[in-house]
Amino acid sequence: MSKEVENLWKSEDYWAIWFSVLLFGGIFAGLISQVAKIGKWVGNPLTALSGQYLGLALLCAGLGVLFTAGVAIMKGDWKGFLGGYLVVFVLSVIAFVIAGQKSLKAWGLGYALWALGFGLIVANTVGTPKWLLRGARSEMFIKTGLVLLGAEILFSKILQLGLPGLIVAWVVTPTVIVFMWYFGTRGLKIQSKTFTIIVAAATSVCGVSAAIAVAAACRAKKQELTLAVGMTMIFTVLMMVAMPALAKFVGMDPQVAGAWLGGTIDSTGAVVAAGALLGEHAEKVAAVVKMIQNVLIGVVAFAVAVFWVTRVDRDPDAPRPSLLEIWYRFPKFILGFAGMSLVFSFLLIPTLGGDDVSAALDLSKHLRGWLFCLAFVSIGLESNFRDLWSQLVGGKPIILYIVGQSFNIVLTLLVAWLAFGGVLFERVYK
Amino acid sequence: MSRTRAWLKLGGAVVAVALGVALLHVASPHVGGAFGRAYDNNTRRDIDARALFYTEVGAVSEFLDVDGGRYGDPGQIQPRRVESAEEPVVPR
Repeated sequence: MSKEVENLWKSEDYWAIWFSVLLFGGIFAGLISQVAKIGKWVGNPLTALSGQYLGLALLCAGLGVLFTAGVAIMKGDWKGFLGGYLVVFVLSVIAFVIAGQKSLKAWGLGYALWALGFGLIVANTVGTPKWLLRGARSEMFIKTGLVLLGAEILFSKILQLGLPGLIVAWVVTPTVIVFMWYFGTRGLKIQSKTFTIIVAAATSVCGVSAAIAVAAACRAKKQELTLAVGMTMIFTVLMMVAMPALAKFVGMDPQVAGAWLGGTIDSTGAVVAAGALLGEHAEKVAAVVKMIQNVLIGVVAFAVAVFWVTRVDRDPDAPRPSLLEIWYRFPKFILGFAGMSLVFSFLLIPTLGGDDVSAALDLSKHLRGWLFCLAFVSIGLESNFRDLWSQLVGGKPIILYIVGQSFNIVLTLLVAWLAFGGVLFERVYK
Repeated sequence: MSRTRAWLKLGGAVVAVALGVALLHVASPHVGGAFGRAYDNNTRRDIDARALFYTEVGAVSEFLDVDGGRYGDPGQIQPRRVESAEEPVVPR
């Protein structure tokens, strides 16, 4: 038990919670009133940074002090961390700047792709020096970002959005995860169970953010997350274009089509873009279904963490682990993730009011974006193309994604028709 | 020598990324078909297709405005069976 108490200030899992609590404390105390945002640009990338230099310096310094203090208390090499962190931050700024280009924004090629790409470029050309790796603490950034993300999952609002959306999002999603899990592990016999569950979560919940959450929950290898994120982003762009075109071609009801797009396309931005091609009703239905599906990210991450501790990581010959054993092995940041969601949904919104909470979340979501960007740069710096290629040999990951996504597309179409086609419920828009 | 080659590779990769971005920007407005329509719509309406999570899509309140009678108003959506049990079914 004393080891567990010591973990409160020695493990990254707990520190992810403390960092997030400190950041929210700063926001609610008014110490953090702005977070640097990289703007859009067309021809000159420097215009994206216009007026942001001071904000970026403060952000870099603020996060640097916070994380360096955490690393020092965890008895890590804080001086080494600080040196590497500064370069990781600069690479993150570059990734955000590139993602702000007008055309890349329209194609949905966001910071995650560029951050991973720049990290990979450095790692696979000049190689990542050891001093830089000390600052690339991807798990610390990811876990803290995820706990902040938990606050954005507002059950109280989402649950008001009605039964049709809940049915599309909450019936199909677990079904697809289970299907892909069995197809990947038993059908394709993919060796890595962590990779299978990451791809299943990314396909069925909300793409990159679900992949990050589940990868952290089951302690997947970084290369597996890189591969899953890369595949998800490429297929998301294709689906954003092809699915509305198909819906239009077959003359699909816009509301059914909206629910279909919302339930299948991985990332939220691409869902809105695809729905917008089919009109206002389709856009709104698509966005709402996706929002409801987004809520599942915490539930799925929690369930995967429990499943991993009790089933996958367990020695089959060993007796069933006790509750205490499960507690020791459970990734604690998941509790912070779920706890933030519950506190914001059922405590802060009723007491502080929606406006104050929205203002706080507007800041935290930018902080979370920066943390994910730092994490993706770090993951890229720690990965190499040879490992990624070895994962792709045989094409099993792509088969898993395509078969799983096809199953998702067919099942979601059926449920979308039942829920939004006037079969089970009155139509949302008359 | 191999160190110089590594740095040249890094420089080459950076140039390739810059050229790729420039090419995509120049070519995108001329893309036809479904891809062209998606690109035009996103740029014309300033839709951020990069958003990873629903809080990043812009005006979330527009979608979550349950009081404004938009999708999501619980009063708007009723299971058909419940409605038909209480009210006469009106042919649509």
